[in-house]
Order: sequence, then structure tokens, then C-alpha cells
Amino acid sequence: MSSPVAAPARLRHDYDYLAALTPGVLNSARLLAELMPADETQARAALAPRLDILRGQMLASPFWLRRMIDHGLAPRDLRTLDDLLHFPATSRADLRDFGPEMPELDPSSEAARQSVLVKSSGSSGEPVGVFKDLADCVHMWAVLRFWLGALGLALPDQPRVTLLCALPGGLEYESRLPTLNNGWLVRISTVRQNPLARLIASDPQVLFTDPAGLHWLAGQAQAPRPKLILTSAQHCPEDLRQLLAQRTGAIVLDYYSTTETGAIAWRCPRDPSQWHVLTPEIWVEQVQQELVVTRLRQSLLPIVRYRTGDAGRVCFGRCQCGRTGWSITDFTGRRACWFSAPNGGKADAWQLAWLFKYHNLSDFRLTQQGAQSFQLELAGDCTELSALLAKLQGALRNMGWPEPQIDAIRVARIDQRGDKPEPFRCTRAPAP
Amino acid sequence: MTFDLARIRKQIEQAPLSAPLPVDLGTAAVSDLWRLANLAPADDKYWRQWARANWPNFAQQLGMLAHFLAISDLRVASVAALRAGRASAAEVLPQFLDRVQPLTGEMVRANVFRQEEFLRRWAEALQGQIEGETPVDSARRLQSLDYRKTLAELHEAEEARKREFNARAQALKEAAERDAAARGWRE
Repeated sequence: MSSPVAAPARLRHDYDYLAALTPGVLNSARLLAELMPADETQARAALAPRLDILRGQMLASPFWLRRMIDHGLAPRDLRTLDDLLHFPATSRADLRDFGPEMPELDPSSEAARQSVLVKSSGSSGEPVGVFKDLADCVHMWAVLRFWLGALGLALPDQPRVTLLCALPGGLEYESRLPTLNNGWLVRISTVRQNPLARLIASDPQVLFTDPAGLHWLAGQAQAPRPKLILTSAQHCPEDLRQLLAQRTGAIVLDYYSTTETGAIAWRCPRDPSQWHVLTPEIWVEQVQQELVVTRLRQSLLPIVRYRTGDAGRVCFGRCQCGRTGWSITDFTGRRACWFSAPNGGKADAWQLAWLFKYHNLSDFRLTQQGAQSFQLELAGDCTELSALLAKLQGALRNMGWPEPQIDAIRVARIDQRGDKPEPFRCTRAPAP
Repeated sequence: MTFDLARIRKQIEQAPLSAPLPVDLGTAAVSDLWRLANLAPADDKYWRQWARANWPNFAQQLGMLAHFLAISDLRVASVAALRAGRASAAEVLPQFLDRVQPLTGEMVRANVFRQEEFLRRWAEALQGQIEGETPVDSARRLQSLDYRKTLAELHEAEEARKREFNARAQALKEAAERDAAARGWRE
């Protein structure tokens, strides 16, 4: 068990300022629940008035002002979603290089005084600073309210929400949730002592975690009984999702989100191949194979055609769950990777992610090179390499490799394709 | 006389990319419009005067206009408009060049909005109408596309942001210091 390395959370305990955001949260949840027209042309027309939000944001953002001047564009040019295609995309590199110039920020305003600059977790690459206003900070509760409604779940007054975190920082805290029926949020770290006992004691109705947390939970003797488990941040194997649903009796909802954009889409519980886009607040384009996100809601940070680095197809239609709208299919964000198992099948390499929870995803890469051979490249500090290798060998055995051979090498840095790291990959030719 | 803007733009979009025409060829191609309309083209004196006027993108614009005339129905529609209106080059060109003054050749080539503005301004200068639109609709669209107005607004907004630079940097610094208070959420 490692010692916590994260600085303690400095939470504000004057919750009135959050309670004042409740009407906005309720409004967002209501908007997300609104039905889209069954016809795509009409649905696009229904979204077009929300471009007005972008026009205002861009005119107040130094980054976008300069960009529009450089590209001969005007906010007024943006009248339809098709017009958006002619605006330049933004990337993680833009956030890194021009992040301070991006927000729409009146320095003397109360909104500016309440905003924060957060670092993305780095799970999707190099951490970058992301500017968030207060409404951004509580927006997840609006999305949660929408999901609860969509799934037919109801929460009691003062619901308990637990955030189960497998990150190495060991950060824990408790906080009131004025925007969610005066509930409570408890963050529990699997790195600290007795996480299971504290998780059971927290008795959450809603449990937020990620696939690493789900793997940890699946290996425990006991499990809590929440109504809803939410997972994000990394690829979640379908069998893991089903296993946890069976063990806990909860609906396990996988959602797609980034620190930069907020929640983007949620995986349909009826048809897991479909990820329903959170319209009307999010618009997703497919450019080549890449998913490009525009945020159509009020925020001090304009997110306009943000290149996520994730891949998928965007299509409009009616899902078997009854929902009409845009969905992402063939979603291969988070760099899904399948290893070729000795039995001829395939194994989800991300099952091994929890072993590397102390490593930045861009600092290691595990490559399957042959039937039993793997190469582990390590760029960051690793003081306990032999222990890591022993765990990795054990895990690979459990996944079906009787004699895995792991060649561990130190490298200065891991070369990667595009903006996102690729911590797992398979270069072995598929079996004929 | 009407300009089928949708058709002209489609023809432009489908034409292969080519280098902008040099000024002399541009001048000849535009002058041909008046000849084809049985009108006198502008003489060299005017062209020399226009080349020296305060239109920094004159050569690029002339090259793009000539290119569009060569590859689309813009030429036919322009000649028809000139036959109907019998406007002289000295009446048409300065008005057009004034109104498209900030548009560079690259904008007109690659930016759909500025290309539309450029073509609409040309039709306006020739007193033509846009197919399928009332004159009021066309005027409103041109007002919305007017890049001279946009550029002034954008520069004004940019100057205002620059005046806030120090206060803004301080606000961002304080926002970064509040980072710890916002941590704990994982998306």
C-alpha cells in the first residue's frame, strides 16, 4: 500500500455559492432530456440557434478573435452546423500553447473570480490546463440528473455519491452536493487503507469510477449496492461492465468524457455499440475517422471543433432504446487494444491498466510481439520494476498466457502516434 | 439579370486548383466582359489609376475574378448584366473594389464565406440579382457577410482584450491557484 502523494483537497465549505447554480443544473438536465426531431435536417435546424452561444464566446475570446482575423472569418458566418465545418479545428496543442488566451474572460467579473484552471488528468495524453467556470465545475450533476431520468432511476433526498478512485495520488474528501438534492459526495481512494470497508460504509446510491476502479471492485470479496455505477476515462471491457452489473445489481453506465470538453456521450445500455451524444449541449463531427467536439452551452471556455484524438463514426437514427439523435459507433477512443491470446481468441489489453496506475499513460507501453512475448517500454521513474514485472506476469497468466516472456527496457521517451498515448499495442500478426 | 450563385459556386468548387492569373491577364479577362456586351472597356488610364489606388489586394482580386470568369457561368451572367444595365467599367469596378477591399486572394479562393461575399459584391456592382432571392434578402445576406464591418468589430474587440491583458493574466493566475479547490473530479 503506497502513501498518498496528492496534496490535500482545499474544498470550500460555503455551499451557498453552489446552491445558486441549481437552477442552471436543472435547466441543463431538462435540455438534455428533450427529444430530438426524428428527421436529421430538422434536428440540425433545432440545434442551430445554439450557435448563438458560440458566436458570443468567440467574440470575447482573444484566441478566437485572432484566429478569426487570421482566417477571414466572422462570428456572423456561423449560422448553421454546416457552417461550422469551415471554422478551423482546435487541438490539444492549441490548448497547451494558447490556453490562457482561450477563455472568454472579463477579469473584473464575479465569474472570473470563481473560475479555476484545472490540469487534465493526463489519461488522454500530456496534461493541459483547462479553464472552468463554476457552471462547468457542477455540470456533471446536470448530466447525472439526465441519466438518472433516462434510466428510470430516482434518488432520495440527500443522496450519497461515491467517487472511487484508483489513481496513485490517494486524494480523499467529503463534500456537500447542493446541486444534487443536498446530497453528499465521498471520494475514496483504493490506495489508502481499508478502501473496501469505507466504500461499503459510504453506501452510495451512485458510484463514479473508471475501469481501473471496476477491476479493483471486481476483485473484492464484497461490493456495495448502488443504483448506478458510472465509468469513464478509459476503455471499459464489456465483460467487466456485465460482471459488475451482476455483482452489484446496479446499472453500469460507461460514458465518454474529457476534462477539456466535459461529458460527450454515453453508452447505450440496450445497444452497447451506440454512444449517444449529449445533444443539444454537445455537437460531434466525424472528420475522417476522428471525433471532433463542439460545446453548445454557456461556458467561459469556448470549445469549438476540438479534436479529441478518439476515433468513431457519427450517425443519426433511432436506437433500439427508443432514443432518436446522433450516436457514435465504432468508437475506438481510448486506444482500445486487443492482444492475441494463445487459445486463438483475443484479450482486452486494458484489463492490465490497473497494474500501471502509478505511471503516466505516456510513460509506458506494453507491446505484444509474439505468441508469448511482450515488450515493456518504460520512460518514467519505476523504482519497483521487479515487483511490477512479477505482477504483470501473474496477470498475463490469469488472462491465458502460460509462459509470458516480458522484455523490459528503459527508453528516454515513448514515441506515439498523434496527441494521445498508446500504452498497449499488438504488433503480432493475427493468426491465419 | 440573375446570377445563379449556387451553380457558380459549385462550378468553382469543382474546378481544379490553379495559380492566380497575373494582373495583365486579369485585366484582359475583365475587359472582355465589356467587349462581349458591346460596350467600351476601361482604357489603360483607368487601369493604371486603379492599380495605384488604396486597394492592397487589387492584383489578387483581379486574378481571382478572372479565374472565376473562366471556369464558371459567372462570365455569361456578367455579360448579360452589363448588356441590361450598360454600366461602364469606371462605374462598376471602383465600387466593387472598394467593397471587397480587405479580401485577399487566398480568402476568396479557400474561405467559402468570403468567396460568397466576393461573388455577391460582383453581382451587386453589376446591378444583377441573385437567383431565388428577393433584393431585400440579398442585401441582408451581404450585410451579414460584410467583412469590412467584421474586421472593424474584431479589431475593436481585440484592442479591448489587449487593454485587459494585465488584469486577465492576474485573473488566470488566481484561477490556477484555485485549482486544488476544483480537483477531485475526474471526467
